[in-house]
Amino acid sequence: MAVRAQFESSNEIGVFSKLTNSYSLVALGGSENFYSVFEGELGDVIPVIHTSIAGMRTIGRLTAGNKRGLLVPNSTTDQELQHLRNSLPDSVAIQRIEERLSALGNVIACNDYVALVHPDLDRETEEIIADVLGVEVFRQTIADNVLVGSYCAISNQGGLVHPRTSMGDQDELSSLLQIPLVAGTVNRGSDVIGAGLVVNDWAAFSGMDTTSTELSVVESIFKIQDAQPSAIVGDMRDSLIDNYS
Amino acid sequence: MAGKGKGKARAPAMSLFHMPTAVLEGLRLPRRLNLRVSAARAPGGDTRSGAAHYSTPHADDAAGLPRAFAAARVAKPTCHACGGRDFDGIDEQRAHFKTAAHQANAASKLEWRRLNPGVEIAAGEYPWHTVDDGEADAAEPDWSESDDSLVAGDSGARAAPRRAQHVAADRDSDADGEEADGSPFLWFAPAAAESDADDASRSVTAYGVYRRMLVPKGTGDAYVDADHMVQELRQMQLPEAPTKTQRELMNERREQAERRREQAEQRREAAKSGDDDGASGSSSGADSALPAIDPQSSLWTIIGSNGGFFAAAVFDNRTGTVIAHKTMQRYTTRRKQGGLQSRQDSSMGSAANSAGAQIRRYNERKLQEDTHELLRRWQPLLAASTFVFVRVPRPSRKAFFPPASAAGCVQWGDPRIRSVPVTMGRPTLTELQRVYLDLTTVRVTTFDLSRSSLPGPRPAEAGSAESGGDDDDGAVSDHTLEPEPRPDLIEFLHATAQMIADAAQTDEQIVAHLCDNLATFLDALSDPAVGMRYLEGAAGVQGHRTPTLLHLAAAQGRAELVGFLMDNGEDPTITNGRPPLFAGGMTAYEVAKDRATRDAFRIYRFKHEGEPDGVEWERTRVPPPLSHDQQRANQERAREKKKREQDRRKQRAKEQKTRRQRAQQIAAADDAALDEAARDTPQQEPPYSLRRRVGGLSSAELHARTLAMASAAWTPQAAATPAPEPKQRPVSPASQRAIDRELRFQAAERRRLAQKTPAAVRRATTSTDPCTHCGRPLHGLVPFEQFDWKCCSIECLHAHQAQQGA
Repeated sequence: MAVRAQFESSNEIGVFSKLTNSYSLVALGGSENFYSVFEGELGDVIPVIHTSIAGMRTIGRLTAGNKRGLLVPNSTTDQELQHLRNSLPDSVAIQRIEERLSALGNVIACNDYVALVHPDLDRETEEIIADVLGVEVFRQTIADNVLVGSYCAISNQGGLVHPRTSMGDQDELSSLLQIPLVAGTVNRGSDVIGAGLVVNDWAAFSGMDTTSTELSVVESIFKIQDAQPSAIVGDMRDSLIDNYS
Repeated sequence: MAGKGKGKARAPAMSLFHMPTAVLEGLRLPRRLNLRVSAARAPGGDTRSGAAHYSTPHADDAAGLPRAFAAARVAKPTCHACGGRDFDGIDEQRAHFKTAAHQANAASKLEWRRLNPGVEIAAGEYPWHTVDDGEADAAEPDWSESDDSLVAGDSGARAAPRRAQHVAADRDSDADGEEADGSPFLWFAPAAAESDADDASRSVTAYGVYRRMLVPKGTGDAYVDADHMVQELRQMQLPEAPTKTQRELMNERREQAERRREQAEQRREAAKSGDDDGASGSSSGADSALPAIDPQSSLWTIIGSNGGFFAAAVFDNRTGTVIAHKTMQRYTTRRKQGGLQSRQDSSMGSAANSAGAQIRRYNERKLQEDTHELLRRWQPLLAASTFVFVRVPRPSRKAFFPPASAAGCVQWGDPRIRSVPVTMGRPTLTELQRVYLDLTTVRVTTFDLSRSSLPGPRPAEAGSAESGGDDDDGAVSDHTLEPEPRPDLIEFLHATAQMIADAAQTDEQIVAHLCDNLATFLDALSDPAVGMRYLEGAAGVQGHRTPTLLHLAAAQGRAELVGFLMDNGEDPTITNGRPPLFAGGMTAYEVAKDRATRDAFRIYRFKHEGEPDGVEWERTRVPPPLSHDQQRANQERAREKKKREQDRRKQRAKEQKTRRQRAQQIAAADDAALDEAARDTPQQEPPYSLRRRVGGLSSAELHARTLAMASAAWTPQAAATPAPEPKQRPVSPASQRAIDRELRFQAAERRRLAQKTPAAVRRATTSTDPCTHCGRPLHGLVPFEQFDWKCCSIECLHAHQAQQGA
């Protein structure tokens, strides 16, 4: 089920949270509203962990991970690392990465099988990503943007990419990731998909500004609630075209 | 010097002065290419200003949508970056994505995208340079191995985008804008390119030189003589920089070091003698003697001055080195606020008088003096320069060069003086060197003539008035034929406006006049040529405030006319702003004079709202409509309010009256009490006769009384005043009371004074005893006293003393 949420009046919830198939991270907020949205959806399935990274709340942009592991930047404090280690399931590996591009969430987009990374990422980082997350790593751009993590959101079911991704690029990416992709927006036309949307194989959270059309695209492409991607072309087409043009 | 080293390091760039002969031969300035370049800016306008980044989402056209959503499936494996390669399986594709060739192609794709923002790529088109697997390894370094990141661009590729950025930045940064628009470059191409230009499949290598280097000053973009330009370019060529032997270089270096040492010594001495006025700066060579000018070379001078920083350098074009330079810095701009002190002074009414302001003012003047001094000293160099590029902010321009009276100084009017056609940061030597390098570098680009059809000449060039300056109105004339309004209609409207403005005309008269000429009136209002602000030029009317008859009628408070005008097609949404529908202006409703007029608008809205092709009432800013009932209710309320107001005023008047009366009563009571008191005192006065009350009075009191009586009798005028003649001067009761009070006060004062009579007098008069020694009465005498003796004379006292044995 795709849910709308807001972190302290910010719609960029992907900045303040991280969602994978085996755990979820949530920033420490002034109130527990945001946390309780996650807890309500995911609480009995996966742990929802309150944390900060390097004392900052923008954890979604600083970390990258999937069901097998979590990558945190070098600036993460030992305390935070210990807390994460204690809270994460034992099966999840956690690794601190020494990388110049330290906003790992912006430069890495991954599901449980494939990771797209910023073309400038270090070789060592690439290897660590492959080892810890158990994925195949590809240096890629999304719509000619190097910040692959910011401009797309992918799960094992599907992916939403930057609205200006060309057809050629979409085809290429879709076959590379072996998931259906669609170009779209969240948060009422925002192109920073990664910041507006967090998604795993059965749940999606997006910013409060997200329109219902955007939300139904999200539900369809990520196959949440048994919606099939074909619905986008079939059932939803009219409403989409009506809305967009 | 730093400049020399740098110049050599960047030598690979083709210099303007050392273009290879092979290139120069047969170079032409194809008109078509230059047009094409200037028009090849992003489709639909300027890429920089306003136009969104190509990746900014916007509503897709409906045609693109089904295609976009068809992607909601796993497509077959391809690689877009490598020219749309298809693969047999996903494994093959994934393997390909890890190859160096793919990564190189992806990098060049990204690079291409950065250079061509906003360019749409059609399906199956791969405009970036692609390499095959085989050649990849040698072709480009791997991303992660290269020191420079892809984003920053590697050293080889960096030059190109940076230049591209400059080209883009120039247009807005360069305020002086000698060329009205278009590319700052003139693109030269081999003659062959021009002749074969019709052949659609060829690409052309073009060489870009800054327009400002070649086009004479002031002619701008209007007309460029192609042959002349090529000739100029040829003439600019200089012989190769002389290659020096190691020995010569060493000697030169030694000489330089020596000279520097000497200068340092001189400076030290100067500092010792206290000749330091606070300016920090550096100079070379120019201080003592000007450097020798190579007769085979040409000189360029670049001068920049901004925010208290001044830098000037003379470049030898043959070697590309700095032969003389000078930088100065003074504290002239206000910290944090910025801006020159002089500008601040002139913008404020009175000049600031703080210590900082004075320092800045002084420094500004000093910097100007120093600049003049330097320019005067450099006069031979400036005279020898073929160009003097000057970047000075507009406010400081006037006094930048020394006054014309100074012998032989360059002036702004000099044809060799050009503004710097590139963006320039804070004037420093390094910056000047960068600018020099930028100016002298020849851009090399390949134009593919087969792609995208050549645009026709820009509309701006169709007209010859391009150099005529901007249209201040903001309305750019596109040389289309504007329909001229019929003069009789305009005349009629203006006449009507004057009628409306004339207070002597009643609303009925005007309406009757308009009804008589209804056909003309309707013609006038419906003629598009008349325009929305037709009263702009009308005499006797403030056309800028009331650009339409409706505005005028509203402003004059002609409530009845308002409805009539709107009925006949006056548009209440027009504002007196510019353009006519600009939300910043005021609509007719907003200029309405009084409530009645405003109500007329609202009633009209009530009557006509919801009509199918009616007015957009939101934009007229007329508040919600007013029905007759509401109006009546409003009037009722107003009347009530007025009544209440009146009542309140009456009440207040009454209160004031009672207050005044009470005050009068109090005053009267006061007076009465005072009079009473005054009457009481005189009642005690009558026993002036000593005989009656003398027993009850002390002798001192008695004396005071008598003396007071005496003094009262002695000043007859004072005694007379208490009874002024009422017949001669009729006195109001109030002033009468004041006079009485005054008199009473005077009397009391006199009494007080009287009691202050000298003690000796009192003693003399009060003594009624006889002389202690001889028994003579002491009345009227000053007794001689000792102990309790009182004697009539000193002899008596002495005798008495002797008698008593004292």
